[in-house]
Amino acid sequence: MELESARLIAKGITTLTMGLSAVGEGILMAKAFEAMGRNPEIQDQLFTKMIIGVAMAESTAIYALVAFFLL
Amino acid sequence: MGLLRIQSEIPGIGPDTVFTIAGYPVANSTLMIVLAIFFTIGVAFIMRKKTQLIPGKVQNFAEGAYEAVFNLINSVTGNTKVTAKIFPLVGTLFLFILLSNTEGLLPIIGEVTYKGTPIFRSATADFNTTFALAFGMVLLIQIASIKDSGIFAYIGKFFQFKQVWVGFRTSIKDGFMALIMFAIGLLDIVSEMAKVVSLSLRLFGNMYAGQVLATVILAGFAYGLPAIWMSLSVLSAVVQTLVFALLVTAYYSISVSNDETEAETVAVNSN
Repeated sequence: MELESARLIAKGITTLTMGLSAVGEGILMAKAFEAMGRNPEIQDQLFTKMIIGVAMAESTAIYALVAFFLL
Repeated sequence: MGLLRIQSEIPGIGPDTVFTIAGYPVANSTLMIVLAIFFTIGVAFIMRKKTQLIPGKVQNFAEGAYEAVFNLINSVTGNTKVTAKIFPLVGTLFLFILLSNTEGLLPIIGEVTYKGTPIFRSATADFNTTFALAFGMVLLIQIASIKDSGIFAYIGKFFQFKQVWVGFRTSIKDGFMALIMFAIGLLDIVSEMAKVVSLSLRLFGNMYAGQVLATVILAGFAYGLPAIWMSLSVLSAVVQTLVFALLVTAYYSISVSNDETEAETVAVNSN
């Protein structure tokens, strides 16, 4: 197998791993919305913390993106 | 090329050297760092000179921003004294990173070239800047922890020999629990390094990927579509500053709080 095609396959595999972070963020948001439904008073604070949590969960996907550009 | 697309080259991962001063290379992101520093110091000086008792519009906005950041940091640490200690550093970091993240959206960034390399590049889209910031912050947290509890307590956090000794003296089960905590203490050393890597890579990855994708989208279709990506970029810039500042605060409050809040609650209880 040539080097160029192996590189492209590796790049493709790196892009696939970002899908898992979407699953994690979906679970996070589902729990946050459920908590907002139970206790509508803390909606604003909970939303801010949820955004921060989403940014944290996104970070492994960003590592994969950086690895994609490095390859 | 045509009217529908704007082709430009994708910026590389490393910054390009613009010129050298006495054999020391100056990269294009360094110029933007200097601009951000001038802006931050300029804001500080202007705010100091023009404060009145009844605030005008600009001072009102600045006071509102100050209070917002203070409440944010206070909600993480939960203790006003710790917040007062860390607030000057984290507030300035907030301002600097916010400015550096949104610099990448100015249209002048990719265009002005000097001998073929673009002169300006967003400061945080360069791994050197984010690594320096993250490494400096983690080093500062270690130094603050040593200053707070002494060097033997600091080393005792990682190598928990005393707990193993005490654990085996109480019972065998406690002893094995203490052995597991010893292994976790050793892993804490690795986790400190992981903090540096994760902080720097998160900020760098978001900003750099935003820039590359903006170039790619502009090369695809230049009307309407880049506006969506630009608004997402602004949102991501603000969220990334929030995450960086809050994480630094959280790490600081964890490493210092073991001593300080206990002393404070003891003082409160005895009064």
